[in-house]
Amino acid sequence: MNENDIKVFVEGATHYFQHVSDEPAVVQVPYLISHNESLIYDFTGIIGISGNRRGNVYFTAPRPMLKFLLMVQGEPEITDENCSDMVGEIANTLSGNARRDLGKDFMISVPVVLQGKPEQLLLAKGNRSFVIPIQWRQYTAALVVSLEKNG
Amino acid sequence: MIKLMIVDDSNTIRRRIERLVNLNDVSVVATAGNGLEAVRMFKKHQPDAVTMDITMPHMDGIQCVEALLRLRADTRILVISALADKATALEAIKKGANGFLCKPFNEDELNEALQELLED
Repeated sequence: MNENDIKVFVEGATHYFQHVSDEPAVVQVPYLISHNESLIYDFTGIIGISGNRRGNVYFTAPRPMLKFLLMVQGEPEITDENCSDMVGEIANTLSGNARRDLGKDFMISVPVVLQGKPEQLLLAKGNRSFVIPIQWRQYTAALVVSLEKNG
Repeated sequence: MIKLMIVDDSNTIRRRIERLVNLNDVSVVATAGNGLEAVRMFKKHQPDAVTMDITMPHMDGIQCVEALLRLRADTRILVISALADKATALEAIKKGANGFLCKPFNEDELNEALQELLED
């Protein structure tokens, strides 16, 4: 994973929040995380990556942020079920949008959503994983990108 | 009245599209969470137009476009997907979709894309 890959996801996260609300997100400086560390908020949407890269991309966010996002989008049912759905959809959108730059061989899975802390760590051993902190309104979420080139 | 079906594996996206559609003479008659369910609902409700996600479990949106067009060739289909590469949009069009809208989208973009879909 190189600097350009990280830039693709930073730009994607900025674009997403600009587009879905009138309040842009502040994407902070990405940093490296090792495979035995974890950064998990209340809900996490995980996308498996295959094709020209392999690994995973996950978006993790606190419940109040997801509830606020649902509200901003006019969703009347502010439930944990819809928070799960929303976090999976954000992970899917940020990963899918990355194909604009990474190409159609950047293959993404349907999202898997976790609520709370997982029993197993999400980061693949050996991959360099970057945390992209996302500040939106008073909330902090993160996009974690753990990829390596395939082949 | 134009009958619209919404296909997306995200419940919040289905509900959002349903809330945002703001065109005269368009009525949402059905929603589906994957391609297989979409085929069942299509047979039951006979919609004139469909919004179609691509990345879905069981049957993806590209396969579903082909399946729906086999059932009724003049169905108008707007693919709404996060997959932002040109190759995916071209593939969807090649399989018979009439338009492509990239997620995330806002109310104006959705209604403009639907308007174009129905005017074609």
